[in-house]
Amino acid sequence: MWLVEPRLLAATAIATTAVCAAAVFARLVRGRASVRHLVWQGALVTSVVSALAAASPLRPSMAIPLPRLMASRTTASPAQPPSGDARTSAPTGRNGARIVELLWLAGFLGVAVRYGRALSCASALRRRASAAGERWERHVAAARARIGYRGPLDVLVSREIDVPVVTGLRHPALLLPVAASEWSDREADLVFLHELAHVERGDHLARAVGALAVALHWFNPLIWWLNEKATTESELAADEAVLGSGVRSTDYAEMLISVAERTVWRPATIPGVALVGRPMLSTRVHAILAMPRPRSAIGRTQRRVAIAAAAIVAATMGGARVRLVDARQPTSRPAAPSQRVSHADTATARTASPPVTTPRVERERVARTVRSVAPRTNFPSEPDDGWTARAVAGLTELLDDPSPQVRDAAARSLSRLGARR
Amino acid sequence: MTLVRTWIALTAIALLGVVQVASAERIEPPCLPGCGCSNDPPFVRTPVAQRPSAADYERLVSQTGDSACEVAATAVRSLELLGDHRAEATLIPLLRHRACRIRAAAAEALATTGSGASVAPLVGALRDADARVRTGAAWSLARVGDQRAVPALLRAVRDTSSHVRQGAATALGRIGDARAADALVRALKDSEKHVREAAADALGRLRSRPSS
Repeated sequence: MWLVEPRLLAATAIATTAVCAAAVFARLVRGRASVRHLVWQGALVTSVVSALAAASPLRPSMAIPLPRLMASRTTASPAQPPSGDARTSAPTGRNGARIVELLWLAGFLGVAVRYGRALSCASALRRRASAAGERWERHVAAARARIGYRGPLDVLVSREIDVPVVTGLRHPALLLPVAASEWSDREADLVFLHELAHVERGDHLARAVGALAVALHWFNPLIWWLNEKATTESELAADEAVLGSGVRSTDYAEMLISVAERTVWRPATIPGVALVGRPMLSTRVHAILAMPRPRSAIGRTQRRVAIAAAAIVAATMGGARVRLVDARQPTSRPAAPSQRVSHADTATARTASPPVTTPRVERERVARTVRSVAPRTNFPSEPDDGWTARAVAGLTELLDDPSPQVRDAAARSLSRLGARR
Repeated sequence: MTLVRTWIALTAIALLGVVQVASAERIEPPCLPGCGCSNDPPFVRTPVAQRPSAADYERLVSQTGDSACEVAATAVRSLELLGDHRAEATLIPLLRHRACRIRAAAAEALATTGSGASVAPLVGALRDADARVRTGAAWSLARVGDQRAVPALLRAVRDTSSHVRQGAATALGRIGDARAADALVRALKDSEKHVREAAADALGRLRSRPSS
């Protein structure tokens, strides 16, 4: 049945290739979260554009060789024309195409309606929120100056959220929880820096693109994974931007843990960029403490150029009219672009597989990170025999514990150890 | 229709009950052979008057020596609920009672009635053969919070019973001696989540400098 819907196949192939290529590239630029996020975002844009371009009537022809088993099924039907769109080959093919289209449409609508409903919830939440006081305006102005964001931003206070959230597509709004009134000035500064970094980077729009990619490729688990990865990297990239503005990594990690400790966790119901999510807390604390020095984020122009390049490539590739050919047949076109793509896919798939990481190796990595960071960041400020560093390493690992009580205890203790400076 | 609904509800309740019973953890382990406990049902916490008269108090103290295990244990529990420091002198000898239930009750009762004088007996109780006694001693030491107990508690963090390990980790955290750091870091990898939780909490309470 999949053979009779080559447009879907082409879009899926391009999206999968983009994910694999992004995975390889992201491993090469391990140190910079903003670059990694750009790579993942480029892959998401590629997925969206390729799917949209595949639906376009203006598509050039492109041949994709099939493996033997698939090709034998394709060429088994004598009614199939030697070239052209396979959808027009046979009545059974048309029925199959119709079924595939309906299935895809049902999945697309299911995901899209879910996201649309969440968007309307966010909009209602924004309408019900009240304007923030003068104190917050002062912090926002300071954060704007440090991050370099001059665009529009509403700052509102909502009783219905537990952590700060950036929401809205065209006109972003920063929603603060009521508990924000308990923040110290230092904590508030760090929170606003983080949220402004998201807004400046356009992460609220990037999440919408991710949702669209997931809706278009709902059947492809790689795209769901890619979207999760992009979300994680956007948080790390915002953290990187905050550290790039001159904030000490230990201060920032302490603020995250402190906010996480005081937060009652509920599953997210609105689309937006939240300050801190418990599943990511450990990853972020590790990354923040491991950042060797403050880094400047990638500029907006560079980001736009990279995304536009990805979109152009995806539009060209995804818009191609795909023609399935038997791989066994000798081809007289040695330089066919489809074949080059196919070989590149194979190579990418080989190199994209991540190295096997055992839990022990992971633990040692974390311990090394904390040990290397501890003296520089002055985490254990009082002289001791180094037990604080060991405790921080053990407690940080425990932030991933399956038990919420254990995670809470670990976060509390990390906060206490950090507060001793 | 109502009958069917009632039947479904009752069946569901019965099934839930069966599942609960089947999955329930046996909280109270059996006594060791020859420990001296009589084969009576588990004791219950008997509420006592907040301020008993002197005569009633004396009767309660005398009941801790009752030959019936249940009566003696209930009397010990009552002394615990009263929280009167005068009971310490009565409870310390009971840590060497031949019945493990009485020893366990006395160890737990010293949490509310004990002071510095009960540290050494409680440290001795950490080596008791019965896990309930060791658990009670660990929790009482957590309440008393004396640094003399640290070496014994460091051993207790590696106890075979997870309840003892939890109590010992909590006690080390309350005492706050940095000598416990390595043992607590090791306890973070314990298989039982309540031990990990106690160890994580305790690490945050340790003082930076080792206490003299």
